[in-house]
Amino acid sequence: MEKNNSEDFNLIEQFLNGDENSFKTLFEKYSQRVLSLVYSYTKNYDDAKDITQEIFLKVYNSLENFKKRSSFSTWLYRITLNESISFLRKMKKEKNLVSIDEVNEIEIQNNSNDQNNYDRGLMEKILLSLPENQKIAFILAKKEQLSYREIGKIMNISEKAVESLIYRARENIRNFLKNELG
Amino acid sequence: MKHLKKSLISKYVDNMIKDQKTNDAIKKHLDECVECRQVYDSYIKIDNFVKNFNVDIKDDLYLEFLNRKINHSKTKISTFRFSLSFALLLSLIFLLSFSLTLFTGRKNILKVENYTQNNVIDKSFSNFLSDGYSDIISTVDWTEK
Ligand SMILES: [Zn+2]
Repeated sequence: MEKNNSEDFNLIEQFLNGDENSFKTLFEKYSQRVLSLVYSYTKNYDDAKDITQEIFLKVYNSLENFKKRSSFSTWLYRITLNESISFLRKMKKEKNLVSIDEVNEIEIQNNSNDQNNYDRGLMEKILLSLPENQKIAFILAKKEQLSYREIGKIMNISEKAVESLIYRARENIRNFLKNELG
Repeated sequence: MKHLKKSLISKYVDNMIKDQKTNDAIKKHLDECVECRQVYDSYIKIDNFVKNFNVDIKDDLYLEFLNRKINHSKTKISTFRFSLSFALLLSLIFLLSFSLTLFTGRKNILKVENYTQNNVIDKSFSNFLSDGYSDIISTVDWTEK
């Protein structure tokens, strides 16, 4: 983690000294992870891609303001969450019925995959249908392998709250699988 | 047998239990208790799924990013141009209205001057009448007004 962090700092330093390729390296290192995180909010590839590009544009234009008080990834994921949340707010204003549609979609999908225990599509739908905070804390912990402390910093909540979110995420998924698939 | 709290199992899965004794006790219980073991196993399975959760990227994201960056700086320049011309237009309007007020102000001053001049004439005219300069009145050209 530490080595990874100083590697990022070096890249940022080089970028600020005019080396565009260093930014490309950062982009290629993180864009897939950012996109996956955004996707867990948008549940739509095109929107996720669009927001990811906007996030990196923001990063590109404001890297000189990055104070290195946290790791680059923490800073980046924070921007990612903020952008995703503001996207969701905009969407919810546009159509209020999103959540109802989502529930129906999951049920249809579920009926067609009865026998397959950990079907990828179904699992993805269950994960994505979790409450926002649980989902993000869980993905950051498992996919990004971040500690409760780091997740807390990104989400602006306490370590204890992160612990509880992850536990509830696991339990929600487990109960869903138990109820629906026996 | 008293079962483990599921929140404790969750913390254990994440390696977040600092106390070694507690860790050992949990491990021992999981080895012996089928029920708690099941919860533990399902947590591990779910974790593995989330670890592999990935969005398949079908595009060259960096290339698209570069395009967007170029477009962004273009719109930046054009908004700069727009605001520049807007500022120019504003200052032009300001200048125009300023000179207009100056102009009309001058007109007003002239009006006042005219007015005071008339008053002076009127006063001197009444002086003519009251002081009995009727013979002088005949010298004033009335056709002028
Ligand atoms: Zn037990």
